Formats: sequence, C-alpha cells, structure tokens
Amino acid sequence: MNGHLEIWIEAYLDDELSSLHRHQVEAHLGECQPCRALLEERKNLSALLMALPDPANLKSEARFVAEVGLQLKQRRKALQIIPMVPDLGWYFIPVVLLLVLTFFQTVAILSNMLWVVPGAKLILLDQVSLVSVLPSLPEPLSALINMMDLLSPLNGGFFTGIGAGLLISLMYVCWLVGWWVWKQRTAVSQV
Amino acid sequence: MMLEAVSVGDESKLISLAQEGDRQAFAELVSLYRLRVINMVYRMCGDARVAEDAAQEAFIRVWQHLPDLRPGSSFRNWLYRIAVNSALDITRREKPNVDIDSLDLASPGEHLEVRLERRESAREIRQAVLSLPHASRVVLILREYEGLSYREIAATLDISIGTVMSRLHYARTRLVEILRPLMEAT
Repeated sequence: MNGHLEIWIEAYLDDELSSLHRHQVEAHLGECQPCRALLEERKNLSALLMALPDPANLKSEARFVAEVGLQLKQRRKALQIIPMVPDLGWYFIPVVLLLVLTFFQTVAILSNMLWVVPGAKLILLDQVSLVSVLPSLPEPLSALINMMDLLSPLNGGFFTGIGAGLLISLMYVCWLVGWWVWKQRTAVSQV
Repeated sequence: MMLEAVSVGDESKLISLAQEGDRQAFAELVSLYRLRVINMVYRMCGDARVAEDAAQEAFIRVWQHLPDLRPGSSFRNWLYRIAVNSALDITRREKPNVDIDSLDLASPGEHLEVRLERRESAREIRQAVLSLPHASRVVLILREYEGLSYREIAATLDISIGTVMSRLHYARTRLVEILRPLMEAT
C-alpha cells in the first residue's frame, strides 16, 4: 500500500471525495485488508481526539464580552487609507524601474537608428551646422535629431548601456526580495 | 446565545451592523463565537488562560479590520485565520503552561480510579497533539474539532488543498504512532 492511497482513504473518511472517487475507494477497501485496517485506525484516532474535553474554569461569557468591549478602539475611516500607501509603494517601485529602463533603451535604439539617416552623422559629430542641413530634413526628423543631441550624454556606449541595464535589474531583484519578505511578515502577523 | 440558534441571515445582519460600527451587534458576534475560538486556540496551545487572552486579542483585531471583510466571504473562516495568528503571536510572547487540571474531566458519581485514568489519557492525548509541528497541528484541529472542510481549511490558512491533505496525513500518522498504546488499550 502506498502513501498516496492513504491520503485518499483519509479523504474518504472526511467525506471529501466525489461520488466517483468514493466508489473507487470503497471498491479498493473491499479487497484490501491493510487499507481497511488503516480506515479503522483513523476512525479510532478521531474518536480518541474527540474524547478530549473542553477547558474548564473559563471566564463567564458576560465578563469575556465586556473585557473585549472595553478594549475596542474607535474606528476612523480616514485611517483606513493610510495602510494602503505602503502597499501602493511596493507596486510603484517596479513600475518606475521599468519606465527608467524603457527610457534608456529607447534613447539607445533611437540614437543608433539616427546614424543611418543621411546627414545626421555629420550633425551628431558636430562637423556640420544643424541649420545648414535642417531645410533638407523633414520637420519631425530634425526635431528628433535635436532631442537625441541633447540626450546624447545618456547614451554613453555599449558597455554603459549594459551596466545601466544590470544596475536596474539588480534594483528590481532587491525590490523582489524586499517585497517577498514583506509579504511573508504580513501574512503571519497582519490582522 | 447559542451559535446554532442564529440563522445565516441573522449573522450576516450582525456582521453588517458591526462593520458600520455597531458595538452591540459586535458583542453578539463575540458571544456567538467565543467558545469556538477559545476551544480552538486551547487545543493549539494547551493553556486555558492563554487561549482566552488570544481569543480576546483576535476579537479586537476582528473589530479593527471588520470593514475590510469582503462581502460574501466567510466570517467564520476569516475569524479562525485571525485567531490562529493571534495564538501564534501570543505563544511567541509568553510560554503556555500546559495544565491538565484545567480540563473539564469531572463526571458526577464517577469512581476516583476511573477519573484518574481518564485524566492520564487526556494528558497523553494533549501532549501528543502539542508535540505536532504548528502547521500540521492547526490543520488537524480545524478538521477534527471544528469540522471544517478541506476547502475551508485551505481558504482559512491560505494554502492549497493538497497541502491540507498532506499536513493532515502527517499529523494523523504521527498521532497514531504516539498514541498507539493508548488506542490499543481502549
């Protein structure tokens, strides 16, 4: 007899099985003496546990209720919002990290794409005045080149990009660990 | 007021009133569940005084968080969850004094020898239950004494039904090992 079946016999005893599984267990019990013995043993254990009496010498109901009543504090609805703030904070952190990562990645991708635009290479390397080239470029593209020119310090090269990505990933992992620990604590001690 | 005498509708009404801040309605809920919570915690820690303190602490927490109880969710399961956490907190703060004398073992007209024998049996059962790991003990108590279904236990303790079944199986197997001499004698 294996342990898996023992669990099913306990579920049978606890009336937790569907009718199909109940019939299967009953059929098995009809032909398996060790399982019948196990069922009987579990029944005896339940009876033994139920024989354990309730505690005596408790406070009276009136006293118990009165003591609880004395310790009840006034609920203030405004305070109910405050515990939500740390909760929202936990979810705000990864969203910010994701936005920062997306921003850096976008800057890097757009900067690299600009190198293939005719004339943009000369502008970004400051070899040609932007004004002399702008008339020949479409308006949105010239605006983008201007913006990328301003953001160029952020696109510090391949290894800087990798480093920034790793740093943000590390911060995300730290957040994940912190969030997990926080959830564990609140699961045990909250309410 | 007996728990059985209160209909589901009456209990829902009491809960709604208590959520709105009605202390009288909450006092009735406390009366309704007082013994159940005390007995459950008592079986977890073995100390009647600690069980009463933990039950009172649980009801105070329930009052504070009652507005957060979602409509349609089980008040009893939620209360049990809070009581389990309160019991855990209070037994961490103060060591329970397991006292078999606090058990209600007296029966009128019973022979002294029989009473002593029952007392000894009760002590053995109590010690066996308390020797179980906390996680298995809670599942066993909710099933055997409170009669919760696997699904209700899973919801109360925020664990899967498979975990409920394995913890229950472990607890029962362990208890049979410990209490086998007593089971064979009776």
